[in-house]
This record gives sequence, structure tokens and C-alpha cells, in this order.
Amino acid sequence: MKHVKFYDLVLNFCRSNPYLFIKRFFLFIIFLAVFLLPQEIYGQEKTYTIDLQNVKIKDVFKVIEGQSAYRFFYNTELNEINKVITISVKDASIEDVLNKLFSSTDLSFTVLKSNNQIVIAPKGTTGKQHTVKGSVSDNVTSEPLIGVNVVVEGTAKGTNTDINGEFTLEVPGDNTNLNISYVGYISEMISVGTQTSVVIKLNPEVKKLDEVVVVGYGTQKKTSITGSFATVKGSQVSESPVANISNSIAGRVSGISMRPKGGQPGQDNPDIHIRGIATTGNNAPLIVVDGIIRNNINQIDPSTIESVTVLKDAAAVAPYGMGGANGVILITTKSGKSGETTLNFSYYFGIQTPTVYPKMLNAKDYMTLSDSAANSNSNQYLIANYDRLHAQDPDKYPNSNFYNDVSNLSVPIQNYNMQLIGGNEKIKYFAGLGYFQQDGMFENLGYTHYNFNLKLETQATTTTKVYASVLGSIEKIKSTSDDALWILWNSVKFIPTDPMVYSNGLWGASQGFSPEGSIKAGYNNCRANTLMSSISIEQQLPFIKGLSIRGTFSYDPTDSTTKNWSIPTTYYQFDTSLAPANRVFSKNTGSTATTLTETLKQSANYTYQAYLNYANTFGKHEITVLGVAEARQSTVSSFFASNEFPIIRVDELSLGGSNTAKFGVGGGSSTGSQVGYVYRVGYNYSNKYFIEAAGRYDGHYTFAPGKRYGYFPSYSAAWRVSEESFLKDRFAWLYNLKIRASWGKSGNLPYINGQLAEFQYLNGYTLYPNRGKTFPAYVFGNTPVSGSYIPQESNPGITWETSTKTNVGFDLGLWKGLVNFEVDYFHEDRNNMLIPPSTTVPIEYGITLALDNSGVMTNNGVEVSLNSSYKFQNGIEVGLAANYSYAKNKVIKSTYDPTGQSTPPELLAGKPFGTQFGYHSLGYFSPAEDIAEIDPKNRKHKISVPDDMIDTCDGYYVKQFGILRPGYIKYADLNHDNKIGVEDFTVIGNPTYPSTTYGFTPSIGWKGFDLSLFFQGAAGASISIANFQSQPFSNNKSNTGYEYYNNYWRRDRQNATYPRLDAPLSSNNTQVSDFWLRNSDYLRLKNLIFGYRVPAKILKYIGVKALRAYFSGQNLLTFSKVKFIDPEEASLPVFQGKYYYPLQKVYTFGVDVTF
Amino acid sequence: MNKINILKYTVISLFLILSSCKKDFLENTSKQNINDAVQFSSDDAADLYLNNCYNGLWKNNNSPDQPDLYTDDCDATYYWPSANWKQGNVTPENIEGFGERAPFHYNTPTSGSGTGFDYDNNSDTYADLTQAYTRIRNCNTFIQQVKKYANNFSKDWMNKRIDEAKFLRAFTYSFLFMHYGGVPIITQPQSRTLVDSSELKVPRSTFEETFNFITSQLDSIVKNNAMPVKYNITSPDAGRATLGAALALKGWIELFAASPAFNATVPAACNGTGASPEQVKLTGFGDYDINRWAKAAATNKQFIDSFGATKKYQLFTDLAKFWTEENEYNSEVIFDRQHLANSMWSNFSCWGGGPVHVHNKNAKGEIVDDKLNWGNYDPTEELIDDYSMANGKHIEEAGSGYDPQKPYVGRDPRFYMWVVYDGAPYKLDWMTFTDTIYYRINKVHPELNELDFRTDDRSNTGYNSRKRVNPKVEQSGGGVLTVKTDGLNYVFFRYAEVLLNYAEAQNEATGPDATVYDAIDQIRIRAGIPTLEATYGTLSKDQMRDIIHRERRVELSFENKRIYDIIRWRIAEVVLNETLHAMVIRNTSPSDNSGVWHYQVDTLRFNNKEHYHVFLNKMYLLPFSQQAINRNSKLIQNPGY
Repeated sequence: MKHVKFYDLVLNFCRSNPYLFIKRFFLFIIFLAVFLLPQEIYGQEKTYTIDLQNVKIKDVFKVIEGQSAYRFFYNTELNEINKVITISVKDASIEDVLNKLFSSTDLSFTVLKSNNQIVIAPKGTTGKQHTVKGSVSDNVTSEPLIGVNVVVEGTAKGTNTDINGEFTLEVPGDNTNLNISYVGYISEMISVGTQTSVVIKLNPEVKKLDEVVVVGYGTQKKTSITGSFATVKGSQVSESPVANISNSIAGRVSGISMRPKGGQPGQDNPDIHIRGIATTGNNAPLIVVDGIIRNNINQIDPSTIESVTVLKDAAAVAPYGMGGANGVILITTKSGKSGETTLNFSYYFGIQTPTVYPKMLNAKDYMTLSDSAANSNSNQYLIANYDRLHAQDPDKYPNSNFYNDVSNLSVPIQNYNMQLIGGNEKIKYFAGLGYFQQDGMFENLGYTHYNFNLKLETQATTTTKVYASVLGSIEKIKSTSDDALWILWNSVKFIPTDPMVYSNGLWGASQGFSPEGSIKAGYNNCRANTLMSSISIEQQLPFIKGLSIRGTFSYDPTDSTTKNWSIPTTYYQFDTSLAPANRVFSKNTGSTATTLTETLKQSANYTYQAYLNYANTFGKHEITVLGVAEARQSTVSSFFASNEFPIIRVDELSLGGSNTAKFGVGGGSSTGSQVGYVYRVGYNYSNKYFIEAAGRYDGHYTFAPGKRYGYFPSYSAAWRVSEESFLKDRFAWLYNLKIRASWGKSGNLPYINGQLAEFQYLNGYTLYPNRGKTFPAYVFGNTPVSGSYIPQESNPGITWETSTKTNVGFDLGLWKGLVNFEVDYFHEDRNNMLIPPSTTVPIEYGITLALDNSGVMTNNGVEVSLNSSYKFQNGIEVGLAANYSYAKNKVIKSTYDPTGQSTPPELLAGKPFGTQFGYHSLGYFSPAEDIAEIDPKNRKHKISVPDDMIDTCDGYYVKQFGILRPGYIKYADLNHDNKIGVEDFTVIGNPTYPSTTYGFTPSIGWKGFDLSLFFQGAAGASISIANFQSQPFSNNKSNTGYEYYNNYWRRDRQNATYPRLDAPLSSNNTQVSDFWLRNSDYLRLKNLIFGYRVPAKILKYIGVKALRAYFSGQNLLTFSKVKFIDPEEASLPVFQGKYYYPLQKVYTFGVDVTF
Repeated sequence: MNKINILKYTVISLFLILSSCKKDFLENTSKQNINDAVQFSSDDAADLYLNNCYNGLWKNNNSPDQPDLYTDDCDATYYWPSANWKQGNVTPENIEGFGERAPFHYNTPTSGSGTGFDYDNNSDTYADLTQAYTRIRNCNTFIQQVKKYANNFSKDWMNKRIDEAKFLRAFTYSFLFMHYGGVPIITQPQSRTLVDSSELKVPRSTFEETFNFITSQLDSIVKNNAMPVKYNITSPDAGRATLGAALALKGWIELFAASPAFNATVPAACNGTGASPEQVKLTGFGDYDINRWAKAAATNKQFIDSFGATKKYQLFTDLAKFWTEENEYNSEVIFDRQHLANSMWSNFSCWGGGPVHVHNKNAKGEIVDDKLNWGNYDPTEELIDDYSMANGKHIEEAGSGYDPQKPYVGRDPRFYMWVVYDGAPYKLDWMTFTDTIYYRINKVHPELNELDFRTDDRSNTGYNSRKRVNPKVEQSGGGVLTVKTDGLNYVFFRYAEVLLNYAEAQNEATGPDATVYDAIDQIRIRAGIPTLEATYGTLSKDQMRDIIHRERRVELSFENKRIYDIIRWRIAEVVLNETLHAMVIRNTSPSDNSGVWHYQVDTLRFNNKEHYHVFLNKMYLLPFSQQAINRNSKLIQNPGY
């Protein structure tokens, strides 16, 4: 425990209140920024006192650099700078110092105060201001490049090329350099000299090695990274027409998998996992937006995202301490850029339609199946004449189908977006506005999302930068008052011979359920406002080169209001004996009351961060140091009120009834806090050998006093083999080869049923909710009384999960980065997972024991990614990005009952978490097995006559479930006790989460046309196909799908997919078994984009810089063995009163305009 | 500004930053957790916790599988745990758990179970160790904490409430005692952190020790005299434990233990089950002592003399209206579990009681077949036959006047109050007209309450019970499970039982003296049938025993008392091994109903087979679950398991 002592020393001063420390640090930064080096702002020039004898001129440069923020720029081949001189000045301005310094030389200087540069050149070369004309073209295709940025180096002065790729620019002198930059090309710097005309050829950017990547609490050069990261550009994740990137990120980069939760607008956030699942507890990754821990992935408009970084190994996640073990997703939103202001407007409109929806029987087929089940011919007449009867009197003889009659299978989705980007050396800004709107499959469903973002970055002084950012989101989620999935459940099983919608537009019901009535029975609308705001000040400390400090304060308030207006479901009936003309439709109103419940939730998160950054180079040695102190605080409060509306039914609380017994009110509040000290120290030698140590000393309020702090260190190293001269010189094709390795620890907070297990250490009494009104503890004298109880024994030792991660990998770039590979192998040991206690006390102990931290799991996997693009001479550009991730976990110790059916938890040991257990099916009983019948008079005497029953008389002694018949499922009696029970449970399938996720994106572009295809696939998951489509009349005469109708067991069709027909459904055939499990492997064309960029030649006439129009399609193609349900979605339960909301196929058309 | 200035400012600033660090930043308050000191800060605050102990009282009304279904009085549908138990299917493995239909457990797994407010679900048990010991721990915690914070309470309150908690604890132990015999006795909340794990394992006390513990606890409560004998019917405390409840429980437990199944050298559960001497001591006294009867008689006499004679408790005159919300906590009620419509409702009106189907008239005046409840009480012909004639004689006795083809004419008035039979008029308070219920095999108008011997929820015997059904509760057709308007309390003890307890104990201890006649006659007179003297003259001890047993069976029918009677009388091995019977009514001309309706007592059937029952001697007591044994190696299993 040495490290704890070390920290004790460091933090001894203020560990009792680090929050105050960090808050004050923030103020301190402001203070420093104001006091330090304010001369330029107030016109008080900084002065210099130098007294040096017999030194080289270039050594004087270093002295000046040490005293100021100035940096000298010169050609190292200039001999004059090595001239030995003597200089002595006192309180002189920089110009005076330099004049004196160069007085005896042929050198001249230019001081560029805006960016603290001093440019040294031989005298006479500064020359005169003159005009330069130039043209810029693609070095490969020689196509002129339009809109290229041409900037005079060291100034904000610049221009853009016109539609012919040409520019004209005034340059200040002969010593001028021009910076030529263009998106997608490698930037060039040219020296103008005395030239008046230049020809510039830009090379397309292949893959920049000096790319900067956003990492935890900072950025790092890609070359120096030692951990495992994956980055995806914002432009890629925003390609899909989705409200949030959770739905579009899997398959884009390695290491991310997801499982959708259906396609309901506003409620379609999937579960995302980084490197699979490594815990039985909370397995969601940590979300960080612009450097602040914010669980706001759903509130960020995809089109405002600059990049997404996925932190995967210990080296990457260790700075997040107790929050990092499940991986971290860093979202960086767009910022301003210096250069010409651009205004971008984008719009798309799309049509959504289900990928797959249940094909349920029509009235005739339903009756036919029903007759077959009942073995009677009761409906023969009806069936034969149903078409005619239906045509004559559709209200009496309905043919109902939810998907035809009520739902809308083509609904719109649209998105508007406006972004303003611009700035100069002093100030950069970004402003964005977004509007997203999506309708649902039926009335009263929908999602609307407004976004407004503003980001500013100011160079307040030469050494001070101020960042301010506001990310705002307003969401409106429209939903039905009843759970939409419950409505779908009832609608799918709706009996087709019952009326759903009458010819006059009124609606009917089946078994008391009316789809239209339920959809119209009020609403449940939620409006959520989220604000993510932060201000950050960064101060260079000039007295130590490379040292800077930074303070950040962030305030994220959210509020949401939910209004649930629930009115009785109504539907209509008529007397079927009357002729159509005489019919009166009578209203049937449900007996429930009209109620309105309004819920208000407010929360605020405060984050304070104090940064210390140091980076310096000493010859071939480079050192970077990062230290961050972070304090986080959260407050949550909620409040609800409800009333009944017996008379006036207007959805306003104050118009409700006056019966106080029907009033409902409640609320609560809580606070939380966390404090962490992050460090990262990196060293590299010669850009070849890298080592890094990072970690966090983290404290969280969830745990008992004295058990709140944990230490999470990580160590990593990398070796750029390709930089070794023995390789570099010999193999020109080897562009980059880096070998990486990391090891470290990270943590995960304990959760129980999705809730943070806070205050488990306290022994406490809980009050019955609502002070006994709704939930009395007891009744005395016919009056309810409230009460309190102890829910469970306290757990004073509760702690976090610890994860020990090891990662090895390599990056390989070939042919100047034309092809890039990244390969990683990882292993993770997760300990201290909160599980039901394995220590047992006698039943007589009398209180539920708290869960304890004793679960153990491991997780292993491999990730590969490949990137390549190439542009041919003829202008055709092809690209391929592909990735593959595999993660497989193993439960080592868990006391969870994996099935919820009293299955021994030991079954799970050694198997992946989520492994499905059940009976092993041996296929169907065949008619041949039905041999004998029992004589009812003499039980012992057999008669060899088949009786359509499989029992002991037939020599089958195993007791299954109820009466057995040929065509029923036969189960394996694994423990040979002649009885099928939980003792026979065995592994029947994989978890519902995939172990393998992969994606590949081939793309091609030519002359403004671009086409890219994003394929995504997953494998290794098993899903249950048991639902209304595959099981007949499974819930009280429910409708059945054609899937069953066409494929069930009959004596003439014994190798059928589904068991024999019977009504009611035999419980024998619905048991959890491998019979109903299928492999859900799929490959899906997630996104196809075909776009066209209108040539600038045309655009110049309409005053537009760039214009692109595109068509895109989502989920267009799916390859899977399971056809009748969506393989991605089918893992959701459908027999618990919910049916999945179909995932959507979306066709969109969009335009992007830049002014 | 030079370096020194910068340093100066930096140092000053850092000093400012580092100063004034007081509170622990990570200290947050949990408002959901109330600590001991607050919970036990005052009378009112501590009452909240005791209220939860009351909540632990068995919710028999909310179980579809009433203990009566385990007896020869009733037959219910095949899927309840009782049907499983009656086939001898009881093992340490199936005693606990949801899927295996464990006897005396009806438990639907719910996420809310254990927190106390799940009474709308069907979660209740009569003999579940886990639930019982949770309730015991709650009482132990209450007693311990109240004593610890004694200064916070008024003396009067404290004396009363500690006795209430002790009563609730003894009451819980009494159920364990009746179902398991001797059990581990724990009177302090155990703590894993304070004692070694081996000390948490408490062995079973013997049958006698457990008996002594329960009775001495109750005795001390009665002697302490802190609680009232009975609360006033309008008191806001009505429903709390009373001296009456404590003494009635004591009298009952003494009668139970004095009975032949336990007051014997070889206890009933040990007969032929290969019991060890240890097991004998755990399942009975191991000897016979007539003084045990005398002790039970004395306690019940004490009740009659001190509480009955002072009119604190007396028989309620309007027996037909006994189970109505207007007459809750009437003069006869000693202890009852409280229910209240809409907040702590009872489910009994959908599980138990009356006919399954009523043909009701809808708004258009059409007759519709409305399903009103699940009709889980299907009385057997054996029980019906024990309802005497109005003249006080049993139907098999000479001069009873019983006509097998008019079986429902001239019977004990209680028969008409409590049983629904073929041709019974049926009207609950909310019904607009009086219906007539038929249990006939009717080929002309099938479906209307015909007795069909089928496996669905209709009566299997030709009868239903209507006792304890709340006449105010109108169920919605079909959706009976959602009814929340039944607020009728469940009665654990009423004065009639004390009279029966006394008569039985006194008859066994000293024979049929005048006080025995008097006790039984009080019940017969209230029921509206002639006294014993008027019907029989004098009776021998054995004759008196038969009559007391029969009177008890009828008077307390459908009140979940029979199971404990057939166990303690040691007759379960007889009555539950015999074929049970039902009434079958057929028309002599089934095609058009033009003939006469013929009444025939027939074998009770299930799936066209004789309804199979078996009772094994081990079933006099339940087994400890395998889990309980695994978790406490000191537990000795009951014999035969």
C-alpha cells in the first residue's frame, strides 16, 4: 500500500475537502490569467534586461525565449547566428534588444506579435510587398482544386482558390512563406521569394501519422500513443439518419458492439458495449463529452460531432478510475477554425418502414387453423364464404390486421442543420442549430430534438486561452399513455375475425382490447431540456518552458417534465343481428378513471477540473506530464402530482376533481460527489521508444467512510520498430510499425438493478411510500397506518469492481500509409462484482443479506482494423475501411441464477455471462412411438392400439409436461430420473449479446460522385424465436403467424419446423429449450450512400461554395438465417406483455450546402 | 512583472486555495435511510416499525389455496399445492420454492415480496420458514430497540407495545409449532458481525420447550396486564393484540399440544416413520399426561370466566351477518387480520366462497353467464353430511327425517347460511335479483353451473361455500383478480372456538360435566338448533367427543381450522386415506329434462378417475426444507423425510 501513503502525503493538506481545493484552483487560474503577462493587453510592453558576454547569437535567442513567449524562426544554415557577440541592455523593448543584437550582422528580423514569432532572415531578402498569382491542383489527377486555403505564414492574411484553382495574393516581402491547406490533402508550405507566379500541386492525404487524437483529459499525437484507442470521425457517425450515435457507432470501429432495444422513436437507444461484456453488473461504458463526464450520448446531435474516441485498454481508461472499466466513449464536438467563415446548411428527409414486421393470419386462415386445432368443422361454411361475406358486410365479418388497419408503415423522418464555423488567430467560433423529427408507426408516437451549440475559443492574452461552450438540447418524446410495446403485443395477437376498425372509421375490439382505442387513450409526453455548459481557462507559465495550467468549470443542468394523461379506453360495438343500415354503434368506455400525472425531474452536475500540463523536448528526449484534480457533484430532485378527472376532462392539473383521496403527490432528492486525481507521465526517446504511466486516485461517495478511495494505475510502452534504421533504410514499403503493450487497473461502480448501490453501508429503515396512503403498513380501526421496514442487512464493506486489463497490439502502415492495420489482443480480469452472497446464514437469520463483492469474470478478445484508400490517375478513388472485434467472457464465480428458474448458479461457472439455459430437445415424438393404449378396466393390460398419446404404455417413462402426443417436443432427461425438470437444464445457446461484431465500408468516388456502403454484422448470439408468429393461439386464442401456419408438424409433414397444432397450446411445447433458439448471426447493409458534389464551375453562378446531394438507405439488406423477425432485435422478450417495436429501414434524400 | 512577483502571487494564491478545508466532500446524506435513533425517537416513530410487524400477520384471505383445502372438508382444482400435498407429494426439496407446489406455500414470486406492501399479489404462506423468521426478527428488533431507547418512550406505551410485539412473535412461533413441532427459538436479532457464524446456527428446541416458550410468553403477557382485554369497536386501536388474543392463543396451543397426535408416547409423526428418540422429543411430548388436557381446559375456562362472563366477549347473535364489514370486530371476534378496501384489500371474494358462475342479466335483459370468482371452496359430501338436521340430529341418526332425494330440506340453519347447494337462492348485496344456483348435469342447457367433474374452476363436488364472502363486493365479470374493494377482515380467533376448545378439553380431562354441555349448547342455541339435552338427553364421554368434533367441524367450517383438528386428533391418516364424495344430480330424462332430478352421492372424481388421496404419517408435520438444513447443520429433520 505504498502508493496510498504517497498520496496521503500529497493530499494531506486538503483531502478533507478537495472540492474546495479544485474550485479555488479554478479561481486561481483566472487570477493568474489576469495578472500574468497582461502587458500586451494594456499596452505596457514587456521589457528585457540582458547582460551576456562572448556568446553565440543563437544562445541569446534561447535566453529571450526563456524570458518571453517569443519563438525564433530561422534557417539553421545561416552562419551568422553562430557569431560570438557581447550584449548588454536594461529594460529594453524586444525591438531594441534585437536591433542591438543584429547590429553587427547581415541579419534582419521581423517581430510577429500576434503569434509570438520572430523571423530571422539575411538582410535584403525581406524585399518589397508584391502580388503573387498561383494555381493549385491535385498532384495525381492534375484537377484544379477549388476553395483551397492560401495563407501568408504567420499572419491571418489569406485567400481561397477560385473555380479554376487559381488565386491572387499580396505578399509582404520576398521572405514570405505561403501555407496551402485543403481538406483531404497534405498541407504544403512554399517560399515565395521574388516569384510573382507559383504552381502548387497538393498530394492527397493518405493517413497522417502526426494526427492528434483526443484521449482522457487531453490529446496525444497518434505516433506517441501507447494504449488502445479507436477513433471515428464525426462525419462518419452522422451519415446514418439516427437521432443519436449509439445506433450508428457499432461496426464503424473495432471494439464496439451493441444490441438494439427496438425502433420506437425517442426510445431506441441500444445497449452499447466496449470489448463485449466483462461484468454481471453495470456494463455500460462511460460517456465523456468535451472532456467532462456526461452521460449525454443521446443529447448530442450527430452532425455536431467532430470525432469520437473509444478508450479500450487500461492505459486509455485508467484516468477515469472507478468509471473506466467498461471502456470510455469520448465525444468531441466541433469547434471554430481560423480561416474564412463558412455557413453550412444540411437537410435530409426520409421515409422509415419496418425491416420486418409480423405477418399474422387473415380471418380465413385463422379460422382454418382454429378448426384444425379443434379437430372440428365448425367454421367450414364461414371459411368457404368469408370473402363474399366480408365484401358484403366487412363490419360483421372483419378481416383485421393491425399493420394494415391501424399502423402506418411509411412515416417521415427529417433533419435540418445549420452550422457557422469561423475565426482568426484571436478568436474562433462555432455555432450550430439542429432540428430532428421522427414519427412513429402509429399516432401519438414521435420524437423531436432541437440542438443549439455555441463554442468560443479566445486567445485572451499571448499566453492565455479561454474556452467557452454551451451545448443545448431540447427533446420531446411523444408516446401513448399505455406502453406502446404493450399495445403492439395486444395488436399482434388480435384475433382477425374481430373488428379492429369499422368501415365508418370507428374502432372495435378483440377480447376487450382495442388498438385504436388504446392509442387514443391519452398520452405520455416527455420534454427534456439539457444544457451542457463549461468555461475553461488555459494559462502558459512562461517561467518554465512547456508548462501550462488550466482550470475548467462545467455546469450541466437538466430538467424533464412528463405528462401522463390517461383516459379510459373506448371502443364501439353494434348489434350484429341488425342489418347494416339499421346499425347503431354503441360506445363502450372502460371503467378506469381519467387521470393526469405530471412528473418533474431536475438534476444538475457540477465539474471542477484543475490541470497541470508539461511538455518539453530535450534533444531526443521528450517528456509529457499531466496532472488533473477533478471534483464532481450532482444533485437530483423530482416531484410528481396527480389527480383524477371525473367531470371536466381537460388535461390540466388544476382542473381535476376535488376528491382528495384521488390526489397523488410525491418527490425526493439526493446528492452525490466524486473526487479524483489523475496523472499521466510519458517519456519517449527519439520518437522510437515510448513509455507511459497513467492513473487515478479516485474517491466516491457510494462507499463507507474510510473505504471511499481507490487507486487505479496503468503502465504502457510502445516501440516504433519502423523508425529503426535497420528497417527504415531497407524496406521502403514499411511506412509504420509500432508494437504496443499495456497493463493496468480500472474500476466500475456497483449497481443493483440498474441503480447505483449507494449507501449500502448504512443500516437503515425505509418508510412505506406515500406515508401509508397508497401502501399502508397496516390498518387499525379501519384507518390505514404507515410503517417502516429494514429492506436488507447493511453492507459496510461494499466496494467497486476492479478490472485488470492487459493489452498487446501493433499498428502497421504500408506504402506510405496506403494500407493501415491495427491489431489488438486483450485480456481482462474483473473482480469484486456485486453478487448475491455466497456466505450463507441459516434461514432463521431472518433478513435478506446484502449483495457482496465476490463475483469474478474474465474477458478475452481480438480486434483488427484495416484502412486503405487509393486514388487512380483517372480520378477514381477507392477506399475500404474494415474492422473485426471478438470478445468472449467467462464467469468464474457468480451466484446469480442464470435463468431465473431456480437453476443452480453453478451452471454458469466457466461459461459466458448470459449463456442461455434450458432443456435439450430431441425433436418430435413420432407416430411410430405411439404403440399401445391402456385398458381403463385393467390398468396392467395393454392393448396395442395407438391412442395418440405417448406414455408409459408406449415404453416412454419420462414425465414431461402434461399429456404427450406425436408431434410434441421430446426433451432429453439428462439426469435420468424419468422426469424433466430444472435438474435437466443445460446450455442451450449463447448469450443474446453477440461475441463478434464486424463492419466494412467500401467506397468509391469519381468526378464528384461518391458511393459508400457500410456493412455491419454480428455473430455468436442466440435468440429465441418463440412468439406469436411461431406458436399457435399462445395467449388465449391469440392470432398466429404465417410462419407457424406454413410450417407446423402434421402426420404428412413430420420434419416440420414447429410442433403439432393444438389449442390451447400444450405447455410441453413452450418450455425453454434449444428447440426455440436460433443462431442470430447476421450481416446487414447498415448504410448506403450515393452522393454527388456539384462542380464549382456551376456553383459560382449561384454563389455557393459547395453543394452535395445524396441518397442514403439504412438497413436495406439483411443476410440472416432467421427471416421472420429482425435478427438484431429478436433477443427482446415478447411474452411478457411486450412485443418489439420493429427496427426501421430508412430511405433518405439529403443536401449539404456551404456558403 | 518579474519572477519574484509571480512567485509571490502564486504562493499567496496557493495558500488561499489550501486554507479552509473542513467538511468531507464525499459525505452525502441518504434521505431514504432512517437510522435507529430516529426510528426509535418517540412513541409515534417507533409505532411505524411495529406497524410493519403487524403487516407480517398471515394474509390467509389472499391465498387461493386455503388450509381447508388440505382437509377432507374440501376439494379444489388440481393445480393448487394442496392437491399436491394430498397425494403425499411432500419432500424437503419441494417444501420451499415456487415451481414445485410446496404444501402450505402459495407464493407467487414478486419483486416486492419482503417489503411488506405486496398484498395485492397472492403471496402468502402458512408455514414458510423464511417468512416466519423474518417476522420473528422484526419483532425481536422492535423489542431490542425499544428497550435500548427506553428513555424516548412513555412507560405506558412501552409496556403495551412490547407485549404486542411479544404476542406477534408468539403467534408466529405458534404456526411454526403446529407445522414443524419443536423449532429453533430466537429471541434477539442475530448479527453476523457480532458473533461467529457457527453461533448463528441455533438447534431446534424440543416440542415441549417450544410449547413452554410460547405458552410462558403468552402467560407473561396476560399477567403483565398492559394491554386491554378487548378494544372498543370504535377504537382507533381496534385490530391490535389484546389480552383476549393472548389468552385465546394460549388456550388453543395448549389444546393442540394436549391432543392425541402429540400427547402420546409415540407422537403421530413418529408412528412407523423410523423416528429416533431425538425426533420423538422434537415432534411430541413422548408420553401421555392427562393434565395437559386439564391445563388447556383451565386456560379456556379462564377466558370464559374472566373475559366471557364480563361480557367483554360473547357470541354474536346474528350469525348470518357475521362476515360483513358492518360487523367487523364484533363482540365475538378475538383477533383478526385487518383489511381495508382499496388500500389493504382482501382477495378472498374472488378465491373462495360462493358459486363460480352466476347467470346474470345484462343491460338488455339477456341472461349472461358471469364468472364471479374462482370458487376454490368445493365442500365434500362428507362435510355436508355433518351439518345436522334442524332438529339437531345427524342425518344418519334415527329420527333425523333426512330424505336422500330431498337432501337440502330441513337442515341445520348454518347449512343455508354457509353452503351453496343445488337450487340455493343466491343474492349478494349488490345483486339486483335473487339468483338460483344449480349444480346439475344439464344436457339441455349446458354451461350454466352444471356439475361437470371437469378440470376447470367449477365446483367439483356439487357445492360451494359462501362463508366469509363479502356480500358488498361486486366483481367485474371475468376479471375478478383485479378487484380491490374487499375490505373484510380475516378472523383468527372468535369466542365460539374458545367454547369449543373448553368443551373438548374438559370432556377429555374430566368427562362431560355440565359446563361441557353448556359450552356446546351456547353454540347450538345461537345456531338455531335444539340443545344437546333436548336432542340426546345425556351422553357418554365418547359420544360427547364425537358430537364436539362434529360441532367443531360445522361451526368452524371454512375457517381454516379443520386441518389442525384432523392433525391433532390423529385422524388425518383415516379421513385423508378414504374416498371422498360429491353430489351428482342427473335428470331421469336427460334429453329434455322432463324427468325428475335424481340426487346421488358419488365418488369424487378428477379427469374421470377417482380423485386420489393419500396421507402418510410423516405428513403430520412438514419437513424442514433442504435449504434450511443445508444452511443450518444443527437442524434435525422431522421423521419420515
